[in-house]
Amino acid sequence: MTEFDPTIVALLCNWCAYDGADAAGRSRLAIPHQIREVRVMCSGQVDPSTVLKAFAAGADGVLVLGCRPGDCHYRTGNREALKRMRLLQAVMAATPIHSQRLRTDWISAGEGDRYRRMACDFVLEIQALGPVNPKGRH
Amino acid sequence: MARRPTIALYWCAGCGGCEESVFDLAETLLDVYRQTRIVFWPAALDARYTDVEALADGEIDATFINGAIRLDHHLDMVRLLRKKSKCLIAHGACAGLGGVIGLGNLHTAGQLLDCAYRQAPSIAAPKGPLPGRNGGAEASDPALPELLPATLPLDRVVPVEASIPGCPPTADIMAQVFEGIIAGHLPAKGTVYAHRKALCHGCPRLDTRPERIEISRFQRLHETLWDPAVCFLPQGLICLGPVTRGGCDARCIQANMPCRGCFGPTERMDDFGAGAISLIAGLMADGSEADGRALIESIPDPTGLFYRYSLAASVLGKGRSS
Amino acid sequence: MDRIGVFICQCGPTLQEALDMPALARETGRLKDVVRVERVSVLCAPDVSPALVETIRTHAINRVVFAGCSPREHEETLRGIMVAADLNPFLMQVANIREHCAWTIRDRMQATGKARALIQGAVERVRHHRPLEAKKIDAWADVLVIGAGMAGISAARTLAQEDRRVFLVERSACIGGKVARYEDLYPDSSCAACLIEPDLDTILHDDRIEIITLAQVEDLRGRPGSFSVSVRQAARWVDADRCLGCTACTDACPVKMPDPIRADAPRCAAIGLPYAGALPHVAMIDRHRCLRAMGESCSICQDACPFEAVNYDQPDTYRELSVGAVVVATGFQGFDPDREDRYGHAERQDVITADAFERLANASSPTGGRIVTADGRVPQCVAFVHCVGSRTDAFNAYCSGVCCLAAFKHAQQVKRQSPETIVHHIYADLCLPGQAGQRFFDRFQKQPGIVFHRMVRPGAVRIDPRAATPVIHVTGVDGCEERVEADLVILATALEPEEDTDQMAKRLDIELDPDGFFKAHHPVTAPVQSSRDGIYLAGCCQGPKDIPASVAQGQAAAGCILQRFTPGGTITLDPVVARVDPDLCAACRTCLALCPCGAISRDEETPTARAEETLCRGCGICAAGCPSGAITVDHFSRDALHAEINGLFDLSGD
Repeated sequence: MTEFDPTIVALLCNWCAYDGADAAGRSRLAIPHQIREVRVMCSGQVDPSTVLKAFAAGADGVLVLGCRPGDCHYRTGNREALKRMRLLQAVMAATPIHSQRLRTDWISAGEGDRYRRMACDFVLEIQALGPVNPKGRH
Repeated sequence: MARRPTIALYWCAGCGGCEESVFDLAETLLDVYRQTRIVFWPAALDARYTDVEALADGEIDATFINGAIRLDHHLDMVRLLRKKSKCLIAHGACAGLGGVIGLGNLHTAGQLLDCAYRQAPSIAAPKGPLPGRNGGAEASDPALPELLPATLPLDRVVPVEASIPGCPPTADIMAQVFEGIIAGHLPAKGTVYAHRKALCHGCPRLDTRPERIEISRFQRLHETLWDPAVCFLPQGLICLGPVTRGGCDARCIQANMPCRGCFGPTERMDDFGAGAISLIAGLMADGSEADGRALIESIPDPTGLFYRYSLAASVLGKGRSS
Repeated sequence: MDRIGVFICQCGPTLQEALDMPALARETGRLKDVVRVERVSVLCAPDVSPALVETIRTHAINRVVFAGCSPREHEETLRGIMVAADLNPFLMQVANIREHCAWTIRDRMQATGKARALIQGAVERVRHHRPLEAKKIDAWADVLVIGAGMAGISAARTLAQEDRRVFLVERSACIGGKVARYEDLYPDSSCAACLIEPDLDTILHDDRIEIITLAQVEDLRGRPGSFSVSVRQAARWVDADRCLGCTACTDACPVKMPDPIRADAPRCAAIGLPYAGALPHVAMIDRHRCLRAMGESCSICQDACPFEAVNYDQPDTYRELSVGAVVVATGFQGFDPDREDRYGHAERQDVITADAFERLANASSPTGGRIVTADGRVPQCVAFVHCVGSRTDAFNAYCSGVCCLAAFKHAQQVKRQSPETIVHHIYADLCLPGQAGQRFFDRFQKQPGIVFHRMVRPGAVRIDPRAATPVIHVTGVDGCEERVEADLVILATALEPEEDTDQMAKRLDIELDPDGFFKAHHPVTAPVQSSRDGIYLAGCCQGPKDIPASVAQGQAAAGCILQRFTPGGTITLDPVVARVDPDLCAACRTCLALCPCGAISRDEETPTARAEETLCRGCGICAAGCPSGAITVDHFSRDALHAEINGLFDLSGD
């Protein structure tokens, strides 16, 4: 039985989360290959249509990772991101795309291991949920 | 074109409101009728499918298709009309975005049929045949078109030149569209018969909207008496004007009701609900996790509210990737 | 017509082991508009650049993807290659196939698959980049220093140059802060006035430093190199050019208010110097006490002044300062012991704070510097209670680090005046940092008549508010209660942020740390930078510290500014900023409240929104929040990000 191999799009803020992912690389930690990282300047730059575009393009899960609460480089970006993503999850709840497929969290700069754990956990969760489009893409 | 332009109007899954948007031209409709050659209009004229088939390809100058693509029969019809038309115009929110019909995409076709034909309390024969191509056991059970797995907007099935948003479009806009066609100008590809800017631009209440709005709890219309001269948003009522194209003269606002987004998104936003989420999240007051949850819970059906007309066009409504 | 070149770094040999490079190069070469794919040994090596430039020119490449290490490593270097090849440095995109790929995925096929997706994403994204020009604006060299205490003064003195002015804005009427009112300084009891007054005098007469007293910063806008600051200066109602500080007005003033320190002291007037020896040596009218300010028609001081310096019509003034950088040096306040019942401070005259002790012991105090009880007696017994408001979750969890040594300094002052006085120290632990600390303590406690009582924890005391003389009930480490009787009790209070620190933080848009002090950009590597570029911190407003540390931070902040903001210099604006499309903006105002740095405003005429490029930091919060998609952040546009995401998936045919 072939196991479902999901694709996860991870939107990482330049100041903390992206550096956390880099830190994982510098420490040669094993990050699931299913993750595709995209760099944004701030998690507050991630708008809901970008998350939906990821699902439309074929993502089975989307991670939005910003700075720790209180640490946003631009002060309020991660707070705004959280509000938007929570509301998007509430909207997704009724739809065929399970709200659990979107996860918003924070990684501090240098926290490679936290990134690894988050990525691994998320891949497992998405594998359990199955593909977004059960008949295959497009 | 010195001759009268040839037009057709067809309806897929819709409520008939878009047909009414044409009838609302009132006496002007008679002028339109005289100045055009309407070859197919099931709502009003007695033409047949075979009449359309008999036309040459591209013979129809402009075809208005309203209603969403819900049945396999709709696929056949719109593909035929596409072949026979120079220009296809998605008429109304259902054709443009899937419309309210698109909310059915929250369920499978099987669930919809089951609900309507089995679960509804008024069903007398819960084991009767479901509508479909196979018909039923009796000869009197006809073969009927089948539900597609999901509702689709028109442009997911055939290329579309233009769209007229609205649920329904206003008679003024319809008049403008017909005027253009009668004058010999078919719409250029990508034309949307609405403003480029969002509704706030023309809203009579715009100046009453403060720069900073922080809502701790959204209100529902029946929960509050609101000031009819003031923007809905600072009063805690959800108005989707900032997300929605203008062009309707803000009629709902003038009738003291908030905008529900039937004119669809602006040209830069490919997903209306995403724009609505950005708007509403931007109004939410900061607070704890618990506050945030309560705030979101004060919107009872965000999916239905934000995607009322556009779910089928969104990936959340199983829209295909573009 | 896009002609995209892709350079894949081999990172020496390391990436080749993890990735199937030939396959990667082959697959990349098949992408639309990719005219050239090259595997480069080491992209960041300086000697490689000419060859890359050559390749770009030969193949008329107009957009470049660099696949290699994280953009956080070498994006600047790669931009340099673009410039060398006469391409706009923003027409490039980096695909991170090292930190996010080769180094994290063990399976070569999986790693190559991801690398391919990342490169494809970069190729799709680079199509959407626009050539951006980084504009230069003149940097203003002048500096604003807020707070004229030890830290602010040391910053101002270090900064003042021929072609750089310093505006020293001070909230109170005089400069020197708290230290100007001290008598002795730790550790060698040097005379505070002797040490400080020459410096205060110097800056008062330095033309390059403009001192603005009774002034507050109301608003600050702009970016490093070009801050516009609104300052409001309250009027003294005394003309500083005429007043000589002769105090004739003080003597004549009919208002006599009790002295805040001593009930038996001669009363204070509503006009005069804030304290004896205050600098600038100019009188001021206290509007809370002045009869005229309260509506009566008194003009006694004006009549009494021999120099016609009193001017009731002097208005409050508003000034707009244009500065390149700001130093915040607003100091601290002592913990208010009235917040707790246990110290009896509100009820008892003879329980005073360390700050009140400093003023009492100062030679210009109502007692002439004599340390006496409220009724004028030399105390037979003095008790010092340590850790007041410190090291307790109820108030301040931290140790302020200076108050124990200050208490010993105070005790030393007592002992010097009256060697027979018994001194009690009620402490929880002793904090004796620095080279002088332990030595000072060793010397001090050798003296006779010094008794130590250890509390079981900070705050384990209760001072009876009603007993005839102060009685301190101390809970010792063994849990037993001990009674200590004293004639005078001094509370060694915690150093806390000034009470309006959070207002200041909002006005300046800088962050606070969890204890309410201004937060350093990084506590280890950037202690004098605030969370906002161009605004620096110095002294206790950044956290409790002693005087040498405050002075050092003032000089350090000045050093940072001197290095970065040079007279005649320019600031390069980052071109990655937000742009509002006026043809699409419906003026819904959603973006105005979203911007964290006030860069978006309404154009009153149009009235669409406008992002000011000198203020915008390119965060994109507004762009993501605009409900009609009218705002774009160049280089991070929605289209660009969506294209990159599309590119991450196998898009054959789409």
